[in-house]
Amino acid sequence: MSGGDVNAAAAAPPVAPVMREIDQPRVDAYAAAAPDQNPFHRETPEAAASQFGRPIAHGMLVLALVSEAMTAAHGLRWAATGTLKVRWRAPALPPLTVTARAEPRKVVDGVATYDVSCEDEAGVVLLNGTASVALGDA
Amino acid sequence: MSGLDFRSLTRGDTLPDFPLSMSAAEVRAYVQATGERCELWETHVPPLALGARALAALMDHVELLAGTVHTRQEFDFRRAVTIDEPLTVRITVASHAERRGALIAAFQCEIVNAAGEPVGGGRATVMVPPEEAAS
Repeated sequence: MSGGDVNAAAAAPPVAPVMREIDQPRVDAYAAAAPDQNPFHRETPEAAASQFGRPIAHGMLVLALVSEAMTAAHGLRWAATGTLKVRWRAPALPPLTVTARAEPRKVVDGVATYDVSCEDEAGVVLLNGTASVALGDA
Repeated sequence: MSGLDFRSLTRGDTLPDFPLSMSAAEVRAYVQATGERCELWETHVPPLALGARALAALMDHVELLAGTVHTRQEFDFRRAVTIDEPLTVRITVASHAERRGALIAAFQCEIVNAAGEPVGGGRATVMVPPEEAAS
């Protein structure tokens, strides 16, 4: 541990998990709002002909649950100082229930870093990576 | 909008700057779609909503190949953005390479406010699988 490190569990605010059902109507709503009308996310011949045989949810829709969890814990500091670095690991095939988690890893020089992930109800990791946010005033 | 050919991109290519702002109605539609309930988004824009808009612009400008997969994403948020705040998005091709038959490209995005100050940015990495890249 370097001089700037402190115990993450003691110093970083806890981030409560966010759980949400992602069904096709939610995916369709996201496609319109994002906007991202890629046919692979909607009930189209292209989605049916894909390797999954059905639409997949937008990765950014799944990632939005991580941002929601971080916002709930850190408020506007998240929007003003946050960082995210993730890799998608598996497709999200609606309907599914996604749980986003952020576990404190470290605090260095006033910046808290979390290990973040989203899993489906079977425990399959849909994405994982890290998030960080400055502690204190934004 | 007609797009740039994904295969012809090279590192350093820059897409035309484009304006971005999100209205209250657009933010409402976004948070209703994601399911988030947060009073902050009555006055401010969720940072990932901006990211989604930047990605949408990228897809408007670059004709992605069938089978393209969004594999990695980075964001850094530097200032909270308010509803209707005028912004400009700049996207650059950070890398474009073939690896084992797959095409992999990374796009760097910078979002600045009217004063030219950065409010956020990110890096999106996409991959075209070998079977699609060869077609």
